[in-house]
Amino acid sequence: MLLKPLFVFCFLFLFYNTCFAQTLKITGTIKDNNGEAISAASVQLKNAENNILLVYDITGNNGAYTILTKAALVKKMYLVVSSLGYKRDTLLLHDFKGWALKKDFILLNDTKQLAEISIKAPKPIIEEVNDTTKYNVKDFTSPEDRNLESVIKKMPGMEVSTDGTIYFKKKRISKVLVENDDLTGENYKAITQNLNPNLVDEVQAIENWVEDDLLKGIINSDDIVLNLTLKDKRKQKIIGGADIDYGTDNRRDLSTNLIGFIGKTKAFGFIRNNNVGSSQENGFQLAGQNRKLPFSGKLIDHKILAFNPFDGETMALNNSLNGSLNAITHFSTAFKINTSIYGLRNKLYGENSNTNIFYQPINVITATQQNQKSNNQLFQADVNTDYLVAKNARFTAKLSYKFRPQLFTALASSSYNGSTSDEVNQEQKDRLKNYNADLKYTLKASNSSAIVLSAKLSQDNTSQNYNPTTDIYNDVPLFNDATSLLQTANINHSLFKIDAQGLKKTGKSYLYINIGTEYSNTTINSNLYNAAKNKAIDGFLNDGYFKNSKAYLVGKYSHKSDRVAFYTLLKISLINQAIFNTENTFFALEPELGLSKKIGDRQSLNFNYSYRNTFANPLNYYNNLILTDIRNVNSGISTLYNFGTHSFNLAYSNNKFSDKYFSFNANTGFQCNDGSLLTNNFFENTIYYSQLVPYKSSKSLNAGLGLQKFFPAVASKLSLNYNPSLSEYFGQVGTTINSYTSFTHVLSTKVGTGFKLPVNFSLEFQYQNNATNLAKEKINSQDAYKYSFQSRFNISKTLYNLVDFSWYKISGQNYRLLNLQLQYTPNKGIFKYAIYGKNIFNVTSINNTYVSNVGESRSSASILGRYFLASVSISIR
Amino acid sequence: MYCFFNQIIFCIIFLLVANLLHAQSQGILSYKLTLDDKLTHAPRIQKYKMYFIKNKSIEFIIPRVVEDTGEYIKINEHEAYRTFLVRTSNKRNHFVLKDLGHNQLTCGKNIEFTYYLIGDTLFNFKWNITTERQQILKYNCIKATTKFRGRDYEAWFTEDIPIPYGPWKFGGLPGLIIKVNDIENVYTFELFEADFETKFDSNIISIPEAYKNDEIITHTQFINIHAKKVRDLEAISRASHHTDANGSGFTIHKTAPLIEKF
Repeated sequence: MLLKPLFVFCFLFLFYNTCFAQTLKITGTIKDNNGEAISAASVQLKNAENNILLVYDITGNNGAYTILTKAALVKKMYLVVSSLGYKRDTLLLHDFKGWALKKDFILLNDTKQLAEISIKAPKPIIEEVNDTTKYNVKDFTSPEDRNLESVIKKMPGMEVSTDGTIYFKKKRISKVLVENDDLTGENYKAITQNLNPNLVDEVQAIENWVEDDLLKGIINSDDIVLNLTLKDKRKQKIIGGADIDYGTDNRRDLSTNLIGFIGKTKAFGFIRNNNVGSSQENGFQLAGQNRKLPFSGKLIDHKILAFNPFDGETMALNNSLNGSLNAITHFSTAFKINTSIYGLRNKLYGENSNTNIFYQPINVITATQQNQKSNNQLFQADVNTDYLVAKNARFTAKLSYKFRPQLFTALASSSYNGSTSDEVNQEQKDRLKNYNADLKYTLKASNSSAIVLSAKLSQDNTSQNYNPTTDIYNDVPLFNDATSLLQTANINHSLFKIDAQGLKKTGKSYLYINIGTEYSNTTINSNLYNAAKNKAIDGFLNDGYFKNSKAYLVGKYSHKSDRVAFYTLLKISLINQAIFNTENTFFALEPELGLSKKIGDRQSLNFNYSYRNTFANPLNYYNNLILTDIRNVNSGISTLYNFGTHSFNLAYSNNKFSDKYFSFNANTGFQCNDGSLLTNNFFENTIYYSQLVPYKSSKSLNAGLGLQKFFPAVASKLSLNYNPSLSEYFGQVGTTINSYTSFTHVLSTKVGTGFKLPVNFSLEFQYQNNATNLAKEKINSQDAYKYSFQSRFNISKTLYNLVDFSWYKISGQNYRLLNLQLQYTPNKGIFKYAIYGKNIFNVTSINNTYVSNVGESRSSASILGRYFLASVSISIR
Repeated sequence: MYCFFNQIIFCIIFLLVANLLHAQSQGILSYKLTLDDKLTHAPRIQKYKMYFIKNKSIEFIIPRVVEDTGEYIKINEHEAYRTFLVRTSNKRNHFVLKDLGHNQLTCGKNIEFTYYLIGDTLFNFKWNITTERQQILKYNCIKATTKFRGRDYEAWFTEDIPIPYGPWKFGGLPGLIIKVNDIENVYTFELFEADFETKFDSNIISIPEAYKNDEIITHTQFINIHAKKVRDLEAISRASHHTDANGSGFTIHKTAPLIEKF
């Protein structure tokens, strides 16, 4: 009964609809307000009553659309036109009578829309993917960070030493790459100390990094590098920034840094001129594995020293100009060339007073006041080529030239045991040149084996002229009545090395075999002249050499499984050494082994032992005197001297970055030598003699502990670092040889509320102690403390104020340093503005005391006084 | 005179501002594919990044590299569930290139270690737009359904983002596809990041260099190659008799099933 009317109703409904259904056609074009056709725009016909989509079309290249439908007649319809980045346009079709319509649209730009509809998946602050730890730079950057280094310092697991060397999990970073390209090699300070952090998206620490793609999977590398990824992903771009700071007393800090991606070339360049204490004294040099800067290669070394043990590098009276240009060009996928030029001119000024109190039995006091100036320059050019000769063979050549002219002048007054001071004019001119060539050919024989052939050639030439002029020398028979002396020293060092390496991987085991030969020759030619008469003075002629020839065979086996890794190495060398009066040939066996174990997910324990044949520094081989300072003459050793060094190292690491933002690393090392060198010191006729003498075994112990925890909510970091060390050395005074033990403790801790709260605070404490024991008796203990307080007050979203107060207590004296900063960072635009007030309490010098086995030295050095700066930062996009 | 200069200055400023305000329809869309084909004990996740400028787009896979040996990369699809090796010496990878202007779809896809360059029909879908609505992420989405090469799909698109793109081969709707899945929930693509502000190099949206010398095959040819591979592996499986401590039997060799059944 019910079915029948229902059937009739449906039939009538369908018939009704069919009667009114006709073909509806709307056509037209969509353009922007410049008249350009908009493609991929959508045009929708909708029922105005319920907003239901009836039909739609998408525009093609010409912006044309066609709406074609056998639509049921709806009283009110909307024609909606939309495209990304444009304002939507809607046309009401009311009581639409016709069945064809032509309608063109012009859409207006909508710049706000893009930001509103974007979704950013929350990027992890730190992400660990296998051997790569990725730090999201934005989460660690506050507006006052002017270079990448200050941001890296805040990342858990990272440490930056005062010379700019970066450590990850207490291991040294060897390179910093930009988008996977190595622009600067070991001179990465050029990038980290100058690149604007706002350009960088991620800092990635890559462990077990293998430079040569061909060797991936064949070698087991311990290298760690940082890779920087940039925010702007365009290929053709130049981005960077410039900072212009200018203030009272002509104080200035002007810098610019640029990264360019132009065609096949990627380039980084910076230039900086400052006289606000950033001394650049170490140029682009970085510390080695032992956290010490490389040996200067000079026999006479005058330089202006900073006696502030905490921030000495940033308070000098300086005028520094430095810059670099680094570019890499990928001519093809197989061939790339990297060229770098570095330049530095560093002028330093210092007023320095120094009192040396020599203990019994020497019992002498010398005092010197000096007005010092130095001008150290560096010009360096590097060219590295990398050529994939065949699918499985690569040739690389690294060529480098370095030239360092250095000038030191000082006007001094010096007294001996309280006598009247005598004036001394000093000038030291040095010219250091270095040529270096590294050639390497890698042949991948199979997926698991390769051969690497390498050759190294390097040549160093150092020419030194030290010219003191003073009446002091009138009374010194040693100098034959000369009052103006000229000490010359010419040091040549050449090295040639060839090496063939065979590599084989079997399962989880790696085998390395090296065979090679190395030859080095160091010559020292020095003499002292009466500068007025240009006549040599007896007893100062050195014409020595040290030759070291070596043929070696090295075998290394390493095994790496998921949990345990170990390696063992044996180096067998046949060594021939010769100096001016002796020659010696001997075999050396140098074993090494290492073991590492992963505990749980993020913990690891490492142990290694090595035995090395150590020979005396080639610059120690000279037997006559060299004048090295106003009253100092030195002599070296004259017999061949080798000794063995045993090293034991243990390291524990516990790093939970991605979830806990926690890093704890501890290590300890013990070294013992079966030989060492001691100095024999004495005064004669107001001149201080230091003579190097080979002596018996010595020991040293060092440890390091680093704890870092990051709190992402407020971007705050808690850090604690403690580095104690203990070393034994010997000193001879008269006929007595004493054994000394030196203890050093360096502690630093910092805690703060980060930079995200409206008001932030941070506290820092640093402590250094150096103590010396003679047998069991403590003969000296020197302390230095630094207490710092920093507050950061966000006045508004764009304006904040920073107060930085440090209180130093060095050798019992107090210094208070206050720095103020007001920064304005507009929400939009490319400019940032700041005003700085530095060293408000106008501290002008810092005193320090240093104690050695023979006496103590009290020094006072000038630092940069009060100044104010106005600053504008521009970002270049 | 003053008035004339004023007009010129106004025109210059207007042109500059107009240029600055000129909208560039481009962006990077990131999709996550959850693959629940029951081959592993938990669904596998694969991420894709799609770059588009106006009417062209390209989608790449984001590999999760576990170990890079130079010759092969080990990719971990989803944490500890499944690790597989991909030969990288030819630098090829998955991609889907859509060209709305020329109505073309080109993609690079592999069967085992061999990659093929395939030409296909663009937006080969007959969408049925429903009245169902849902909020996904922060967008108001409309449900659309379609049948495509052996599977039924439901897609959620948003008019808030008026671009006709979607993950993989999907698209052709009057708004961006935020989520699309087959009704058996084996394949689920979901948008997780949409960035319309980042600038990138437009040259990225072209057939990747590694495929430049390849001949384009049709979708049917690709399906036939895959079917032959499946038959070959079945034959190998029948011939692979092994004996070990656990007994003896046949080793099964299988290649991954395709999302498109024909």
